[in-house]
Amino acid sequence: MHGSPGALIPDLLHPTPIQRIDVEVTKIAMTFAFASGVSGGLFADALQKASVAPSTWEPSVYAGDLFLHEFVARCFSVRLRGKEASLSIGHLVKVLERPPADPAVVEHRRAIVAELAASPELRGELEALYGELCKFRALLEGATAGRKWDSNRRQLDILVVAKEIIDGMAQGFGAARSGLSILRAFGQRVRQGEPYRSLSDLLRYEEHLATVSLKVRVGADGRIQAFEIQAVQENQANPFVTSPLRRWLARIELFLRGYKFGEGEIMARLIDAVFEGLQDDLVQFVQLLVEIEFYLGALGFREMAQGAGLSVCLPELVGAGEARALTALFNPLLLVHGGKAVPCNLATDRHATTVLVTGPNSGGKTRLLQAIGIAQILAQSGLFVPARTARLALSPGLVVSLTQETKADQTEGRLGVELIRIRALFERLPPGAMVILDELCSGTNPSEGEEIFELVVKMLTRLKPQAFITTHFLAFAARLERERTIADLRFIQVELGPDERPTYQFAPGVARTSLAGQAAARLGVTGDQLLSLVERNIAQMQNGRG
Amino acid sequence: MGTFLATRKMDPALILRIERAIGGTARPARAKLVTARLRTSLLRLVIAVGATALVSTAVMARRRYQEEVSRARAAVLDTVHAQSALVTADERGFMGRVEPWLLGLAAGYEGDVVTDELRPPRALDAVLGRPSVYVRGPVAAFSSSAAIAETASTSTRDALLLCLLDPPASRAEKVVLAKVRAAYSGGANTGEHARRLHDAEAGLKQLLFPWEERVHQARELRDLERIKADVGRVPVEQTKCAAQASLLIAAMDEPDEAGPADLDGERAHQVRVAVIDLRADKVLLRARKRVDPNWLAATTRSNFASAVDGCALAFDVRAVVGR
Repeated sequence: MHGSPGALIPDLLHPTPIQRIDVEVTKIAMTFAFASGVSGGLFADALQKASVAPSTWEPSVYAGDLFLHEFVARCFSVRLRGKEASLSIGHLVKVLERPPADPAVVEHRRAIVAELAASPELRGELEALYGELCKFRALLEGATAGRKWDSNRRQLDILVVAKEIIDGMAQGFGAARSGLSILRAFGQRVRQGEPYRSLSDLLRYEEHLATVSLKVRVGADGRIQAFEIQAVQENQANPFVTSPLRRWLARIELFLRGYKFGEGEIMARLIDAVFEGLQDDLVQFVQLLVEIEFYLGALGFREMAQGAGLSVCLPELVGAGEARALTALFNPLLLVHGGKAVPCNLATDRHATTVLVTGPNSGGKTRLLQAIGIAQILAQSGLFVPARTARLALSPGLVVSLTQETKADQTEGRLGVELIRIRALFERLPPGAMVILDELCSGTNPSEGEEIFELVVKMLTRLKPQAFITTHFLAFAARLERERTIADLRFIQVELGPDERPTYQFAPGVARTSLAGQAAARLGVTGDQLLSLVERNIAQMQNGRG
Repeated sequence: MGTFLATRKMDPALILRIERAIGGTARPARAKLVTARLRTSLLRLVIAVGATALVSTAVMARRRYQEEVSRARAAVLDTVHAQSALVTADERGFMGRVEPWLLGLAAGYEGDVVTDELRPPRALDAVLGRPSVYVRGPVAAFSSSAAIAETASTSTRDALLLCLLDPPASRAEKVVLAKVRAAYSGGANTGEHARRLHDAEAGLKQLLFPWEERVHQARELRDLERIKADVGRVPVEQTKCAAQASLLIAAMDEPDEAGPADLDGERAHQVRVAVIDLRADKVLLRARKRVDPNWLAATTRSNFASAVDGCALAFDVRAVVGR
């Protein structure tokens, strides 16, 4: 996975550069794409098989419940010259759902994000680089239909863009103090090499074979009456410049070697030779492209939140024993669906606690759990979290269970499924992990459910998790709060307003009511409302018979 | 391996890659591509070698052919030169000596002439025994060199010539007719020293033809073969004999008089006869005699009017000398 000794990989995600794509396979695909202009999604294929940094997180136990793919697809946006760029969503999700186990990696990314957020110049340079990389990808993958008929022209266009990318990296990012500085180092290293010099010479040769000095005579009517060639000066310093005789001999040589007998064939072979020299460096662009998307996407998320009047921040990372504090925490998934996200504050005296969340239905408990989970993922990835300020502790794992859909092949009832879920949770849960459970044991009668609930919570606390569990077993929760039989158990409840409606804020304590009556009335499930419906149906049937 | 695509100014690493790019050294990933290209390369090489061999063979064959043509040309030129060498300057100028006399005789008749050297007995026979050329035709057919050539081509050794050389015993119809018949049935061989002017005119024209130029212009063997055949057909001996003649015997028929023509076209008309000494460049004999087939019997006239008239004319001309 690591790069070969001596090679510099422009890795923005890790302080010690990692070669995450299969370089040899990608080089072959790139050679084919360069030669044919048909890649079949070279970048996508390489990134799909790309690895990520070692992680202790298991995406299958949380990614679906947190709608991570939807979050990245909707919230990570990069605009180039007013147009929305097409991001490598799949790979970005892959990077996010497997946060690095090494805190140094997280710090590396946080430093880059902070630097980009603080320096519009650096961000501008990174966006310009990203734009060139997109152009490179488009040309290489044959997305641009124009000039496809001229293979040499297309390949030269690719090389021109490649040179601009390298030049942009070597000349830019001078002010970078974070991991962004690797881009400059990479660019400068490439520029020092022979392949880059050959590239420059070839491009100069292509655009400047010779200088012809002309003397033009213009008549009284302004028209050119005559012109004569004063001098023809070949660009002799360029190593690609040869005499016409030698070029002709080269054509014969190529013909005898099985190539076409044309001037274009010579250029094609020279392009091929120059491209081969650069391949080891150019293949790095594949990985780099998506890594830039990672940071620019995060900045896009910040701007999206700011557009909705919300703030994001890079959280302060603390130990599990320290207090958790999130102010103006919001659920970004609400923004995605055009809803209004009401920010809330969340604080616990320490991270390694189990927090029971109670409150009325539709009071924002599940949305809070989603927000906590997404914030944790983003914090673990070194990105902005959806909160104005945040103090968070890194976690070795995350388990989320929010939605309980009935499946066609389900063999167990609701309780059975829930028990299986609990069993799986304990099978995978490392100590100190974050656990997010929505309405634990709600699929059976309250008295039996409460027993299992208490058992689970007791066992959980032994793993010192960062647990958030919602429940409607209010009496049970109240008893636990009152009796304090389980250590490290904390209680928060949905705050109600003066009209007994939820404010989507959370306060310490256990809710007194689930306000089911209010919900029933709001949804038309009161006694009077149901009675009137029944009477109407009976009357309709009688009228039908009459 | 060197390549014309590389230059001395290039970095060795770049040169190595260029060599790889043109298939000089194969990369594992491109093994199939290189194999395919190698196949194409070999095929083209075979085609190139084959084409070169074909062209070389064609060039060599052409060269051999050209050598053969050159040899044939030299052989034909040798023949032409040898043939040309046979003709003396005197012979070459033969028609130049003959034509003025013919043009003069046709232009106007200047009166009868019999030189003294013909007066002695048998002097005429002696003179007529010298190598001579003979021509007879209408006066109008001697107006130019081309007309003379045309007339000579149609003029044969007729009864007039044969009877001039070997005259009949008398002018009686029966005797003359017998002489004509004898002459036409073998007597034509009489006096072979007297040849047709056509032999000299046409022969010299062929001998003096610019064969050399035509030989040089010929590019193909078949053209030279044709020239060689044409040169071979030139009657050198016959021409030389005719061109060496020292005597010109000419007969010019003046326009016919009015009256009906016989079946062979003969009608009464005047005939100018001249014997010219080409060596001495003088007229030996010039006479103008009338021929008229009316004196002949009807049966003779229908078949032999011209011939008998000609023979009778010869008798009359000889009579002029005799008188």
